[in-house]
Amino acid sequence: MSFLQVLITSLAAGLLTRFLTSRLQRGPVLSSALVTVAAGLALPVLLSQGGALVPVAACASYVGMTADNRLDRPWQLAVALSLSAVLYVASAATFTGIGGKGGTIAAIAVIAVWGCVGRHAQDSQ
Amino acid sequence: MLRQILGLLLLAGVGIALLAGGIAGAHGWELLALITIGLLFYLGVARLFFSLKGSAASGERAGLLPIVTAAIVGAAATWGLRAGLGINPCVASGLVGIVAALALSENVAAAVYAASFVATSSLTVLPGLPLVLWAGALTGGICCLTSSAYAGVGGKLGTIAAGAVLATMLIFRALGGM
Repeated sequence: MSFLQVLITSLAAGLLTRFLTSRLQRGPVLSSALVTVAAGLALPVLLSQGGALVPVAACASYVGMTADNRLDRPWQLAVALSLSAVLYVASAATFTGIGGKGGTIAAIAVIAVWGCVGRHAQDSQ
Repeated sequence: MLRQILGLLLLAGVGIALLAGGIAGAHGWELLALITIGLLFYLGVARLFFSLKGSAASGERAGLLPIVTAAIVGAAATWGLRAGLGINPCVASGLVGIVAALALSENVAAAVYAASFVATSSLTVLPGLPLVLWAGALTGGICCLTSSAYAGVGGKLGTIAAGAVLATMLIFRALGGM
């Protein structure tokens, strides 16, 4: 599993989740769950090491659950997804086997980007 | 306001724990990346903290009991799919999330989805259904406590789940049960 595979999987899953949430109005939970299940079924079939990329896609789908009024531009989400991919690889030996690790990584990446460039949540209200 | 601050500190603490653990064992570019992301994360948490002032919980919230009950069911269902049917943990969590999103209100579905993450823990972390159910109940409680913290931040549900799993491990290790 190369970093490039992790990055591409992360960007694809996260942006697809945002598309389902914002454009198709499916809600963040349903969108993330759909992307996770689709990744879990498709990646092991499509790629030889696809099974190892399923948690990456799940993690990215959590990043994609971010509300529009936190990260409103696609490039901001793309940066957050890239950070989550880096964090996923760099923290491989931490929180091993702990459920919710992917979400924790996602939240760190989102808050890191929002802290620098994101809008104040109340600005859009 | 106190509840909001407590909720933010709790969720931020889980993130800090992951970053600290990662930094402690990292070398080279991974260490540099973790330190950089960590500094940006601290900046974001500080901004979240100052934005708490004047913000209020929005939307209609379900009560503690329905959320905790739903979270326990979500954790149990995911555990059943995973341990009973041998489904990939991520897929099991996703399936539970889909059913919850279609059948339940937004807040309750979010708690169920968060609890489903708990059941994706490895058997060495949560070695048995009772611990998964306990962590699921804890997840429901933390969902209520942190209803307005991390609002709109992707990964909030996973952070809650990780916090619940870590708390469960600490409690049961202190009691000598793990």
